[in-house]
Amino acid sequence: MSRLGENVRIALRSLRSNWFRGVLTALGVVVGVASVISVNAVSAGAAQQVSESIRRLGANVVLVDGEFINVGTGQSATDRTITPADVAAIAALPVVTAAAPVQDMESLTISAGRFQTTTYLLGVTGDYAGIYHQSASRGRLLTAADVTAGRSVVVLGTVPARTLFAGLDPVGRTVRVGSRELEVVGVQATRGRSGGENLDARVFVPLPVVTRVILGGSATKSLSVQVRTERDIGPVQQQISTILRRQHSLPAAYADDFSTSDQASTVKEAQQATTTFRALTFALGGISMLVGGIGIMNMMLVSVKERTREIGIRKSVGATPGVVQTQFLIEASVLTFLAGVGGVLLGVVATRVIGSLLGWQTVVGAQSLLGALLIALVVGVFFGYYPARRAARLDPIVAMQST
Amino acid sequence: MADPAYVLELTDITKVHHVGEQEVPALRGVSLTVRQGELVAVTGASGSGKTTLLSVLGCLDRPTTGSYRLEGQEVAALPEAARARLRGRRIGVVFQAYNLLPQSTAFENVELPLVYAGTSARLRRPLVLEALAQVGLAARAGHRPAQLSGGEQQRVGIARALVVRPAVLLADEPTGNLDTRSAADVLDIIEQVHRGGATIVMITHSDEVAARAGRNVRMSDGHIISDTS
Repeated sequence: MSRLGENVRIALRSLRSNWFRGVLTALGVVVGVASVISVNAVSAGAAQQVSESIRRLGANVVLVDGEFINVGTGQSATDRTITPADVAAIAALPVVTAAAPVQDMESLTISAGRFQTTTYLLGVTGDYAGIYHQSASRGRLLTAADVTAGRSVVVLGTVPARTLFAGLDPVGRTVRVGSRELEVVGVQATRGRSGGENLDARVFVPLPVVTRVILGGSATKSLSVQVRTERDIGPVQQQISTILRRQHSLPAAYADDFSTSDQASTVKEAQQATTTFRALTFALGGISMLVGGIGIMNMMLVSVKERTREIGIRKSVGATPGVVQTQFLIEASVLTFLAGVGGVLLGVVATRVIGSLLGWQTVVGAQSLLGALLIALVVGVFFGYYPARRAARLDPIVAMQST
Repeated sequence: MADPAYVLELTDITKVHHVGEQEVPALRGVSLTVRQGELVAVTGASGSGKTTLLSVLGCLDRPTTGSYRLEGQEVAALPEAARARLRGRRIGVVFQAYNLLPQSTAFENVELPLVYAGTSARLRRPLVLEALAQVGLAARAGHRPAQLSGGEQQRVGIARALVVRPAVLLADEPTGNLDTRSAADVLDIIEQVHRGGATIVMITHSDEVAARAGRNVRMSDGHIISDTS
């Protein structure tokens, strides 16, 4: 058996002979490790949620919202202020990588055979899928050719796909919107919820189908503008404002007839709050480890005192101070390592409970488990050092005379 | 100059114990040489310095002044780690109070010096069993000290001292805690080990025990007052 194996065996035997004291002492480390793991899991879950929403909202995307022209004359809801010329002017900006105009219709009834459902319909262009990381679980997404040709095709979200076709593959079948028949070319892959809206309840058609065919006209309600980097978001909002005011010939005294917003930045602010919370709880976990470590040190000092005679005997038959020190360091490390394992188990269980009780998304990473175990080991070595050093320095004759 | 015939060579050894502020001299200039294969009995009243002498010989304690050569090597001033290695490899000590680890079996107790000497487990096993057989305890290897009689415990102590085949076997009142019969058994084993060629220094307060040794060193007040063969 190797010297290390021998030492671990001796450590386990001595811990077993006083296991209750060991368990009580190790509780501090167990709780510390468990709290670090569950806090980490909760905040990693929150961070994942944030990055998922950013992905859904689109990274580096500025949303330009046209407003109703409701000043005076009885204009209809179709008179949106974002015109194809506006889109072209904004798309020509050097920092803009994609510009996707969107025209939507809420509470629209679509049907297939005897099934029907109320849905949120969006008329989009080919750029939309790229900006919002849309993908198809069946069939395909809308293409630039669908848009140019104004084809009567539709991509369904999973919710209407299920409601209208009840388990059948919708691709190739037709749905009716009013008197129009649209061919289903694909089903959008599941996207989840964002800001209270179920993104899977949407249906997508080529933009001209909504603007020209259903509503009549060419202006759109909103425009999603993607820029190269996050740094471009602020300046591009200024540039868009200038372009649109000029395009719309707005006198200086008039307010904007549009608005720009950057939704991902709101989410990122929420993420920063999580980071602060995380740092705070890590500090609490650290304090718990410190207290646990002091407990371990106290127990090891008592252990050295109780085993003075044993240490003397070991020294008299050839154990060097280094060997004795190593033995006690290993004992402290074995104790904190076992406490770390206990803490990991408790932490994982606590995370599951928190997740299911509060409905929070949690992520337990292998990295955080290994990190916690490593920290527990370091606590053992750090707080075991002084007691081990004391054991190593005992005089063998004096030690053997103790009872 | 070191004489290869001498296993132990003490020259003018003094040892002063510090008890609080007070200095208590325990050895006041002891010179002693022991040849390979000798059995030396050290006698003297309590407080005469014989246990301190044994601690110095066993590298358990460092002399205050003087020279101590073990197998020709000067060891008086060695640091603790080096002395620990000598204790484990070249010296076997048998204590009056046995000093066995209570949680460990006879086998594990005897194995301990080999563990610290870095002998592999594969090589340790036959050496331990041989040492236990030498003291007549091969059958009790798996017993813990509490399951053994005093005499048996002391025989485990002797096996532990012999297992590394030391240059010298030191015994401090090895029969002091034993009844007459067990004491006789232990002395028989020690004599048998001596006949096998071992060098032994044994402390005793019993003249009877001392009489069985070939050489008798008598101590008083930190001095050797007689040395007869």
